[in-house]
Amino acid sequence: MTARPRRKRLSRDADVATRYRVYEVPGGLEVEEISFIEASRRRVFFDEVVLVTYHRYRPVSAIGVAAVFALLFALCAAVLREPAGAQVAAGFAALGGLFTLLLAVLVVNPYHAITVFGLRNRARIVRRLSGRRAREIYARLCREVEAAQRAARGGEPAAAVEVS
Amino acid sequence: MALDLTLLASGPQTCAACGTRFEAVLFDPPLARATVTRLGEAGPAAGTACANHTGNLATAHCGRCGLLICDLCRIETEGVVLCPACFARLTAGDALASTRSRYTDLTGVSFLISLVGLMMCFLAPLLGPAAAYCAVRAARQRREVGAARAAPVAALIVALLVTGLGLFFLGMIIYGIVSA
Repeated sequence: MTARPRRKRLSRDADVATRYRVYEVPGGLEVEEISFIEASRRRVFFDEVVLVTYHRYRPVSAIGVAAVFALLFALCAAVLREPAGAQVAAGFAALGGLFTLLLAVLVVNPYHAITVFGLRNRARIVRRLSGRRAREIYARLCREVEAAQRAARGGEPAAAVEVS
Repeated sequence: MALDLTLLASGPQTCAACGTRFEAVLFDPPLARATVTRLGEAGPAAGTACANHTGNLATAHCGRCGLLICDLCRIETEGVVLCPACFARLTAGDALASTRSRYTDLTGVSFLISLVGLMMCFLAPLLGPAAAYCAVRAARQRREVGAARAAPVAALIVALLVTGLGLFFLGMIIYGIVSA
């Protein structure tokens, strides 16, 4: 059996129970959902795409978790300063500081999401740090979708696609 | 909620439900159409009728059962032309790799076995090799889909460490028994 052409990972995301991976494969995107050890794979083909969107959002649940941990460690540092000593309190304060830093990063840097809606499936690409890279992916995907749909029409040009 | 494309246009948008601003590019995907030659158009000497559509000209035969099929029935996958019935049978039997959409993540299985081996050290000499076997199969599984193999390699290293730890633990037990 010959190996399939190498796919390129575009995005990695997770929620409480499932990990999501989006890969670029020839002619489309491949979405992999891994729940514990069960995985499923589905595809969004470029010639079936009806809509591509780009938006930014703040991860509310991650911000909440970071805030709770920052508060918890700060509280531990304050409560344990007297009975356990300054070193233990400093340890907790350092952990609280790390979570505060994470909280600040999450609040200041929104996530960038590109959603590709196909006729049957959809793929969601989430980029955490680089908005410029997300814009590049958005523009490239739009170009590839347009090219694939033009080729499927037999070279006939599709509606003009302009991406800033 | 179903996507109502009539409400959208290409360019900057605002979500009517949550107020989030987003950008959109709308596409008009071409509809897939199969061109089928009618038997009457092809002439009496031109060919044979499709087994499923008697009015259509057969243009191929199934690579598995040999049934004559028209362009409407023709399904080409993994380099073989199949009729719809054979395709359905092979898909149901999980025999076509290209149609397989659910699978077991063997890298995860390998890590899980290694974790159990770490928690129960006396079983690690057995569980370590089992985890290593899963990691090797995971690497093969990933090669088939063209994915990177960093995770199975990490799983293999962990499995070998667990095996070593288990053997060390077993050796210590045997040494303890013999010295006593």
